[in-house]
Amino acid sequence: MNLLLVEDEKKIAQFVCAGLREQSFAVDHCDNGTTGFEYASRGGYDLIVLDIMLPGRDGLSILKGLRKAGNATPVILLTARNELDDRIEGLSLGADDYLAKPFFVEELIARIQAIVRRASGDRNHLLEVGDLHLDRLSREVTWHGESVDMTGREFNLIEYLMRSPGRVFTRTQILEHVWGYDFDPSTNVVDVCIQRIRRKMTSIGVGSDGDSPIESVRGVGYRFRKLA
Amino acid sequence: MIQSFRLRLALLSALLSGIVLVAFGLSTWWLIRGIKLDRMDHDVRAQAERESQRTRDAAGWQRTEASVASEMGLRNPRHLALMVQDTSGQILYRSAGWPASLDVAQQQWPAQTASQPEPGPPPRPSGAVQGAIPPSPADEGESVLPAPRPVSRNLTLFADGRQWHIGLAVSMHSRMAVAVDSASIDAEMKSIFTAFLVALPLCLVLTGLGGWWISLRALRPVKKLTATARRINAEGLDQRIQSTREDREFGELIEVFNGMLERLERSFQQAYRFSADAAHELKTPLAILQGQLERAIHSVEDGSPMQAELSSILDEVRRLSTISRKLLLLAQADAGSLNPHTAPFPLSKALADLLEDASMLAPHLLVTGEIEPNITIAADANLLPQVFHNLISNAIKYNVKQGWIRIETKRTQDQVAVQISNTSYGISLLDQAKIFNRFFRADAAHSRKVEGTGLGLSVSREIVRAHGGDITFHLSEENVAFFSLVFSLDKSVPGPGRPDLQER
Repeated sequence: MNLLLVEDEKKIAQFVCAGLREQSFAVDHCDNGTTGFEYASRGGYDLIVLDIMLPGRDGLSILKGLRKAGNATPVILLTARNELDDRIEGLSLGADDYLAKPFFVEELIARIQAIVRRASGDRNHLLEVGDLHLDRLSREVTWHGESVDMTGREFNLIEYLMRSPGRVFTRTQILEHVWGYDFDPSTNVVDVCIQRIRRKMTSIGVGSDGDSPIESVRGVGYRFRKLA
Repeated sequence: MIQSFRLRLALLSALLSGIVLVAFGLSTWWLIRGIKLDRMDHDVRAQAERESQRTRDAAGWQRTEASVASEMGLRNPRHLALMVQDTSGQILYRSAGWPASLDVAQQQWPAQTASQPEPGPPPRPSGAVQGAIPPSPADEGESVLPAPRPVSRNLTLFADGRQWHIGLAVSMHSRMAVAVDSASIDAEMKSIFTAFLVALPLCLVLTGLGGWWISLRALRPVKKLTATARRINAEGLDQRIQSTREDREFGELIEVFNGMLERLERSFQQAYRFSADAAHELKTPLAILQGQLERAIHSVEDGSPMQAELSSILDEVRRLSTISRKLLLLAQADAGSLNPHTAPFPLSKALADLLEDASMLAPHLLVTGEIEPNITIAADANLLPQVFHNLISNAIKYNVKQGWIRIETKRTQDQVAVQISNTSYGISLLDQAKIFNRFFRADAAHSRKVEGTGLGLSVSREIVRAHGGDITFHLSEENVAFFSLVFSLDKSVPGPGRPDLQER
C-alpha cells in the first residue's frame, strides 16, 4: 500500500516513516507543501497523511486543492495548532480523519487501517488470530468456537492488540486508543480491563489453563500472543 | 424601594411639580377670592351711595333691588338684600330676603357730618360700577354748591350663618344698606377649585410621562453601555460603544469605557496568545519525544528493564501533553473561541461506557447507574467525553472507602440532566465555591496525595458551557457530592455519527 506523508518536521517524519514502513506500507515523504501538493496530485496513493502547518502551501489548502480537482484519496490531517478549529475546517473540507500532535504512530496506523477497511467496503470485518475470532460489524467475539460477551471497551481493547500479534503496546497507547486522549494516564483501567477479558475467556472453560492469548509485558504493557 | 431609576425619576418629578402646583393653585385661589371680595365691598358701597340719594316708594325699591342685583351680576336674588331708612332710622323699605338677625346698629352707620362732608374713603378709581357717577372733584372749584356727597362705609356681619358684605351710605335724606351674601362668589370660587382639581392630576400625569421620557433619553447612553457589556459577555472583548452625538458627560464615560475595553482586550489577547503559543510550542517537541520513545520501546527487547523505563518516561510525556492540551483549551475558552463541532452524540452509550469505566477503575466502590436508553444530544464527540472522564475520575479520587458512585439521567421535554453523585469526605463551603477554579485543588487532595492537575473541572465547565449547557456542584448534608449537567436534547432526527468515531 502506498502512502504519502507531508510533514516538515524532520524528526517527526523520521519516526512516522519508520513506523509505517515497519507495517509494510510504502511511504513517500515531502517536507513542504508545494512539492507535497505536486506528489499528491500525481495520484497513485492509497492514503495521504498531511500536516496542517507547512512551509510553502499549508495542509488545508492542499486538501482543498485535491478535493477541488476531484481527487478523493483519503486524507488524515495532523496538527499542533489551534486544533479544534483546524479539525472543524479540515473535516468540512473533506478530510477522513484527524490526529492531534503529539500522537502515537500505532494510533496513526490503526486509523489508516480503519480508513482503508472502510474504503474496501468492510470486506475485512472478520479478524482472526488462532482460536480467537472477532467480527467488527456485529461486534461478536468467539473463543474456541464459544461466544464471549464483551463490553464496548473490552472489544476495542482486544481488537487493538489483535491487529499486530507479538507487538507490545504500552498502557498509554492502549489507553489513548480505547479510552481517548484525555483519560487520566495514571489509572490502572487498562490492567483491570485486561483482567476482565482474561476472566471471561477462562470462565468459558474451553482451552487449557494459561492459554490466554493476551500476554503481560512487565512494566510496559500487553501484547497479543504471536502464533508460533 | 422602587428599583427602576427611571420610574423613580418620573415619580419624583411628578411629586415635585404636584407640590408646586398645589401651592400655586391654593395661593392663586386665595388671591382671586380676596380680589373678588374687595370688588364686592366696593360695589355694595357704590350702590349704596348712589341709591341713598334717591327717594322711591316700596315698589320702586323692589325694582331697584332687581336692577342692583343684575348690575352686580348676582344670579341668585336671595344673595342681595336692601334696607332703606329715613334719616331718623325709620325703615322705609326692607327686602323680603333681609335676614332677621342682621341688624345694623345705630353707631355703625357712617356719621353724617355738616354741610361739607368729608370726602371719606375715596371710591376706587378703577372698577367703578357703571351708572355710579362719582362727584367730580372739579366741581369743587365752582361757585354753585353741589349737593353734599353721601358718606359711606363697609361693614361685614354674620347673620344666619352667612357672611354679609354690607355697604352703608348716609345721604341727606336717607340711609341706605346694600347687603350681599359672600356665598354669591363661593359658587364661582368652587368652579375655579373644581377646574384646578381636574387639571392637577392631568398635569401630574403629564409631568410623570415627561419625566419618564426625559429619563429614557438621558439613560440611552447607559442602555448602550449595558447592551455592549452584554455583548462582551456573549461575543467577546472586541465590542465597542458607538459614541455618536452623545452629551459631553456621557461621551466622556463612553470614551473611558471604550479605552478600558481596549486595554482589557489587548492584555487578554496577549495572555491568550501566550498560553496558546506556549501550548503550541510545546507540542512539536512533545510529539517528537513521544514518537521516538514509542519507537525505542518497540525496538528494545520486550520485557527488558530498558523497555519498562522507557515506558514510564512515556507516561510522563503523556502527562505533559495532557496539561498543555488542557491549557490550550482553557485559553481558547477564555478567548471565546471554543467552538465545539457538534454532531448527534449518543449520550446513553457514552454514559454506559462511563459506568463500565467506573466499575473497572474502582472495583472497591459500588457503581450503579440509571441511564435512559437512546438519548441523543448535539455535542462534540472529542470534547464532551473529556468532561465525563474528569467527573468520574474525581468521583473515584475523592471517594470514601466502601463508598458508591451513581450515574443518572433525567429526561424532560427538551432537556436532559445527567447527575453523577458519589460519597465523599466532604469539602468546606469555601472550597465548594472554588471547585471550578483553575488549578484549584481541595486541601484534602494535597494531604491525601491525590494525583491531578486541578484543571479538570475548570476545563469541564468551559466545555459544557460551550455546548450551551451548564454544570453545577452540590454537596448534601451526608457528604454526598452531586455534579449535575444539563443539556438541551437534540431535536433533529439522530443521524449516523461521524464514521471515524464509530470505529473507536
